[in-house]
Amino acid sequence: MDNTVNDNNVVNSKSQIVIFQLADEEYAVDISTSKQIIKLSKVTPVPNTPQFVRGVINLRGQIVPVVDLRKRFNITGSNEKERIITVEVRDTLIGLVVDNINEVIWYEENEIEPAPNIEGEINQEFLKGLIKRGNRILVLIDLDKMLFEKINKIEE
Amino acid sequence: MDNNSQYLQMFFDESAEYLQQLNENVLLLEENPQDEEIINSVFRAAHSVKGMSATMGFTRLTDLTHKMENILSKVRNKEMQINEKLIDVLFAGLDYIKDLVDDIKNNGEELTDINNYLIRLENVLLNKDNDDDIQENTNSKDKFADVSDEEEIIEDFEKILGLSKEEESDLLDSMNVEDLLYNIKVVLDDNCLLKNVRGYMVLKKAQELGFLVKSSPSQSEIEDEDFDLSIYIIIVSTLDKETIISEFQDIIDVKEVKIHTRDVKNKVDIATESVNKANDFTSSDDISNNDHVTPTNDISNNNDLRSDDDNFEENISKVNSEIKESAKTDKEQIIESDINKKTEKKKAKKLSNVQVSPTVRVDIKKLDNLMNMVGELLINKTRLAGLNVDNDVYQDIILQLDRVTTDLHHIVMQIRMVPIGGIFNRFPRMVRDLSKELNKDIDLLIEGADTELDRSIIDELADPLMHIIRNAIDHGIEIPELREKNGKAKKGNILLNAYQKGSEIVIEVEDDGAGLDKEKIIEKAISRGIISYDDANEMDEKDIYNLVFHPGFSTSEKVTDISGRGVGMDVVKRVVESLDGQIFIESEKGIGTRFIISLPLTLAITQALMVKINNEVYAIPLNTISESHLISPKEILQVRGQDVMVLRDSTIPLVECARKLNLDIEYGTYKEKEEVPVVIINSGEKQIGLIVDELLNQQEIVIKSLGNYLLNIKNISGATIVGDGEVALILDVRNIA
Repeated sequence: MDNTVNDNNVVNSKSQIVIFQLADEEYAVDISTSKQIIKLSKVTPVPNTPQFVRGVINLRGQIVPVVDLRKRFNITGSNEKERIITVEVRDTLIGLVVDNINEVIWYEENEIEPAPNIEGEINQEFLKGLIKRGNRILVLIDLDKMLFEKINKIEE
Repeated sequence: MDNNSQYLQMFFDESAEYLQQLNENVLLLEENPQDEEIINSVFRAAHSVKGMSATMGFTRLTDLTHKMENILSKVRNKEMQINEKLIDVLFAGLDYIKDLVDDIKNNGEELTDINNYLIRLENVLLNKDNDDDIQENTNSKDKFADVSDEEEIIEDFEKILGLSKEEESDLLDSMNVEDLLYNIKVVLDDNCLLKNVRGYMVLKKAQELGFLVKSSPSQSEIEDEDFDLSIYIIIVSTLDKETIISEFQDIIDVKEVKIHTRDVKNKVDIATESVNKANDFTSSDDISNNDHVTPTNDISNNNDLRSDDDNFEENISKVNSEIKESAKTDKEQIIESDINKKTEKKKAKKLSNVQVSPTVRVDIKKLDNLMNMVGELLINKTRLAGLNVDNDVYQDIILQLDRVTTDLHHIVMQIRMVPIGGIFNRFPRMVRDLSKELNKDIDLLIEGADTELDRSIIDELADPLMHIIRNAIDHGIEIPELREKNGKAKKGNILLNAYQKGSEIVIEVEDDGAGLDKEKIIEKAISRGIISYDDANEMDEKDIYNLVFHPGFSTSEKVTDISGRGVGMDVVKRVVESLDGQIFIESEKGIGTRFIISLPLTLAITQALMVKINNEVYAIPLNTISESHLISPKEILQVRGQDVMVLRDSTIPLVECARKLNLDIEYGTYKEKEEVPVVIINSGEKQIGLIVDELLNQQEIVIKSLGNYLLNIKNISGATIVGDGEVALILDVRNIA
């Protein structure tokens, strides 16, 4: 079963983000990049790729690479429940393995705060910033940078 | 400029086609300067480009092609001799056309400055301008037909609108004494709107002026706008030439009118002859001075030969030009045993040169989509068949489905196939120009131009081939003096050859030049730090030649403009490999060099052997496999620490796939197995044995790319979807060893 997320009412200066869970943190991507949410089917591992590339799947006849976000962000711990959210970046469909999809919310541009630079944490460049909602902290991911600007063709 | 992009696209496509045609034909023209067929086709193509440019409103292109057309028209009228200089000028013009078209493509407007070239064209025109002007001045409305017009028009009419003898004699029978028979050529303006309306008016006018015998295009062709800008008409009229000309000139958009009075007298002879033919039974030996003696059975030859003689006698006192003319006419008659047939053929030919062909242009993207869908269908068919339902109807459906999908696949493949000649044809011109530039004398021979290859592959191949040929010209073929000194023919040869070998297409570029210099290559490779001295001693001939594929490698002493432009053979190799192909070099010093490229027929679907490695299914394309074996671990030997097996006298190094794929498992476990599955592959010119865990089946796979997120993954060339809907990776075994 696919739950396709639709962007159906656009309000000026407001945008929507999809919030998902990685371990006990909440991350978010812009809804306009996300295409669908799918259950994890069999992933075929691809040799000679970085360890965070889980492999490829067949999505209606299209070969879609799947990136394990936990591994990408060096988040340890196990995750029993996995979902794939597909995003389209640079005309390429890529699946992101996340623990769970939480919700879709509206936010305004001015809510974004710069992410604090924490030593040993995930690469700053991957992040657009943080959004605080009550006691929740949502980490906004810059997909383009995360997927394409960092060398993801680590040999061996 | 408000051009509908669709028309613009058509303009680009067609101008590219015409340019190609022009390049080929001008080259042919240089070799056969007397061939009127070629001259005409060059003229027509230039004319078509002019027409298109004018229609689209590209003024520079229109000017340029118009001037070129003038020159060609002089050539056509034999007022200008074809020589090397003229060919050079024409080629330069073609380059300008290409530049202008590129300007439009890239910037939406014409940027290239052609003024100097136009002056050059003018000079060419003026230098040779000794007699009648060819309508340099297209606006002149009061041009009377002159001698050259007459000649041109006679020629045109013979080609386009001949009259059969029956038509001719019928006509003469019906004509009155004061009637004259006219050939009229009316040319419409390039920018003429509503061509069919103007054409119709021209015909209508002809009917007003006299009796319209025949026209090309016919009335229906005019209605369909199925004609160029010229309308040929034969009419019987009592009016004089000048009146007729001015009458036609009065029609809007008529650019020029040429008229020629058909030589009725001469025709009367023939007419009379043909009338008398039936009741005259004189033997053919009797070739006296008799006008009306005609052999019965001999329809044309003898008869016409004789009339030829007669005419000659008649015309002996006439001026030269007329002798020439009538001789020409009569010669034509000898050749034309059947004017009608010839006219028809001519017409067909003319049509094929105009842009009417029973083809549809399809965007390659649509074909890609189609191919993908067919791929999907194949996968699902395989899945269905895999269900193995025990039911006769089901089995029957599966069989049908199998047949249909296979046929569909083949048809789609065929649609995508185009002859490789399309790119081969670009090279003769290049070879000519380059060899001139380098003072070399080189012939390019092309074979197998009709070999067909997937369109997407062909498009990619043009640049690598161009580079290899440039290399052959630049570094391969020696200068004539040197060739002579070494006892070779002064003229060097490059052979471009394509042929199909099984499921592969092989393209060879061979030259009979100096060959590759191994010492030089090694020297260079060492100085560039590509290899060490020790490496050099280990290398065999093939390895040494392959060094030229290293980035930035060039054996040329001095960097020439031609092939030492930073784009090296490494790019060639990369492109060929990206097309799933391979490239090798064979060379012999002093004898020549041969580059061999082998490519799969199509990029989309191929036969593959499915294997299992670490519980994952992988596909190995069959075209890389020579055979597969199950061997016993006892058959695995050691040579210098490398596992090898012996297969029919040759020692084949063994490579464990898992290791090459950096799989996180324990290596070398195969030695404990009872049987070791080995797939023997051809990697370059070498054979290598790949050790896998299990050999599965052979099947047709649809090749899919891993997309641009996973680019250039080592030893993986793509993926395919197998029967159960899962993804299997395709092994790239070319450089696996």
